[in-house]
Order: sequence, then structure tokens, then C-alpha cells
Amino acid sequence: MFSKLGGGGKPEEEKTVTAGTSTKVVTPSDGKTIKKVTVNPTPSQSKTVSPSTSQQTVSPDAGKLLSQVIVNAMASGALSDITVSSAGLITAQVGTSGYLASGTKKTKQLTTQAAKTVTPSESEQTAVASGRYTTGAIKIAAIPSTYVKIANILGYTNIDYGEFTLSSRVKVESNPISHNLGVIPKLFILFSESPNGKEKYDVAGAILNTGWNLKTAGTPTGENYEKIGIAMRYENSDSGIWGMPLTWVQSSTSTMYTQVSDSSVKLGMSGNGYFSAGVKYRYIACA
Amino acid sequence: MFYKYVLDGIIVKVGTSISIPTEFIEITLEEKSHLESVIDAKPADTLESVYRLSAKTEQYEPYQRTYEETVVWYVEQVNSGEMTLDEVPDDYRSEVEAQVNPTEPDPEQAVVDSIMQEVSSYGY
Repeated sequence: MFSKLGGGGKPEEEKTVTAGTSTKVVTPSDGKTIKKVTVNPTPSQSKTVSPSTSQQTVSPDAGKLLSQVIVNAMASGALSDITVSSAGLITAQVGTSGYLASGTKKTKQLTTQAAKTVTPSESEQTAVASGRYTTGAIKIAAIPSTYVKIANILGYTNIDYGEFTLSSRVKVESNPISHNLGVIPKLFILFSESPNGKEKYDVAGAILNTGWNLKTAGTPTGENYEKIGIAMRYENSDSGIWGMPLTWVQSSTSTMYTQVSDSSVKLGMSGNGYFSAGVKYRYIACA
Repeated sequence: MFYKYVLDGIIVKVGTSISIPTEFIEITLEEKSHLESVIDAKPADTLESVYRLSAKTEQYEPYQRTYEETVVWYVEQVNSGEMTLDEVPDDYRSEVEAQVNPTEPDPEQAVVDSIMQEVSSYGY
């Protein structure tokens, strides 16, 4: 096309440029002069970002301006249910990452045990069941005074007791009765429950250390308290239990057998003395 | 604590104690009750056999009597009146007689009364 001649006789031209983010210089073409420059606006763009745990910088692409930055909404977070392990470990955790409004919470009600006091008895008791959170003190009451009557009355604090049943008839000498006193008993009493006619001469007896205030006839001598025994022999009969009154019986192979140590006692009538099978025997040892 | 005492494969006894010696075996109350029920149903010993409670089977099994156990059996028979001393076989009679008739007699009532009087004089 023919260009209009401008000043200096040069043809004129029009130029169009697009603005950027840096300086641009518009120069005429060779041999021409610029009549008009049309500047188009700098291109713009919109960018979208999502929140993260790190700082973000939103920058436009090269040669562009940001017209807008769209920030997506934060995802909503959620708490998982609270768990309590068998070892008592409480775990509270975020189940889903995201925004948690102030005051967001989860709760778990533990099974509780209120304050209580347990009094010892002959039966086993559960003071606090497994898996319970105590909301008050759990106390074990003192042993009722009636329970310690033997120790109180006799002045012995080292006490052992038990019971046993033999599977076969056993001679007295062959059945040591174990105790855990750790010393020679000062008092040992053996009880036999209902011989049921199984034995004419069944076992029962007591051993007393003469340190206790029970005088025995004669002067006890001998090792292992063999002659410091008091025995009651009894047999079933229509008239009931017959026995000698508690007295001092001189030890001999046919009347009384006693042998004591710091861990066991043998006691009973030797010769005819047997522990019956199937009969329950009880004993108490004190020192 | 509940226990059983086993010796040479035989359950000798079961029982209860505050603490048990190391040679005893701790068992549960249920096991103890079971063994006690087995003991309650023990078969009667015979002249030929004594029944012992096997630790392996937890049942009574017959064992041949030893000489001493045979003497015991005859002593029981004589004491219960099931047989007379003269009916005891010769091999066992002298032993049986010694146990049926102890060499040391029981104290007579007069002796007992004398001892009781002496004891009471001490003021206890």
C-alpha cells in the first residue's frame, strides 16, 4: 500500500505492540516514521491454588499479569474415634487431614469404678474389674479383728494353716505335713474330719512348745519335742468319740509319734496311726 | 493355693495351703475338686491289690501289695473282726500280732486320773 508522506518526506506507519511487564521501545521501520502506536494491554491470567501447610507464592507467567488468584477452600478435617488399648494407652488422632474448627472434639466415656472399700473374706473378691477407670480411691479394709483372733489370743504372728486329703492310706511316719513357718512350730494342731469309720485309730493331735503356759506332767525331754506332745486318740463307736483327756503322753513307738522341723511336722499315733484315704485333715501351725 | 503332691508317678495327696513347697505342684480349685471326687470313689483295697492314684491317668490303678502292706491289711481285718489272728497266714502272723496288740498298753483310767490330778494342782 502507499503510505502517506510524513515530515521529512518519509512515509508514515502505525505500529501495534502488546504491553508486557517490562519496558518496550517502539521504533519505526527503516525509512519510515511512526504515526501511531497502538498499545494493547498486558495479558492477564487467573491462577488457582489450594491451601497447603507451606507458604505459597503465586506468580504470573512470564509477560503476564495476575488478574486474580483463586484460593480453593480448605478441605474439612475429621477426628477419628478415641481408642483405649488394653494397656491403658489413650489415642486421639486426626482421621482426615483438613480444617478443624476451634472446639472440634471427640470424646469417649470410660467405664468407671467409684470409690469403694473391700473387706477381706475367705472368698476371692475383685476390687476393680479390668478396664475400669477409678474415680475414687479403692481401699482394702483392715482385716477384721475376728480374723486375727488366734494371733491375738495366743500371741503368735507367724501362722500357717492348710488342709489335705490323701489318696491312699498312709502311715503317720510317712506323711510329713509341710508348713512354711521357717522355724519349729510352737503350736501345731491337727484335726481330722469325720473318719467315717475308716480307721479304728485315726490321726489327731497337737504339739505345744512348753514355752506356752500349759504345764505338762513330768519333765519333757528328748530331741525334736518328741516327748512334748499331747495326743488325743479317738475311735468311732456308738457312744460317739472317745478320747483321752488332754494330758501329757510319753512318747513311745506305740503311743505317740512326733517329729518337727522348721518345714514339716509328723504327728499322730504310731504303730496303729494312719492317715485315712479320702478324709480331709486340717492343721494350723504357729510360732 | 491349691496343690497336688506327686511321688513316683502317684498322686499322694491334694490340699490347700498359704504357700506350697517346691516339690508340690500348684493346681486350680477345679482340678483339686476333681481329684477329691476321684479319691472319694476310691476302690476298696483287696488282699491282692492296693489302689493308688496314677498321676498320668488321674484314676486309681491296682498295685501288688508289698509284704508290709499285706501285714497292714491283715491288721485291719483282725481289728475289724473280719478274721481272727489265728486265721492270719503264718508268714504274717507275728507282725500282725505286734500291731494288733501293741506291746505298750494304753494307760489305764486310774493312771489318767492321777495325771489329771497332778496337773490341776499346778493351778493352770
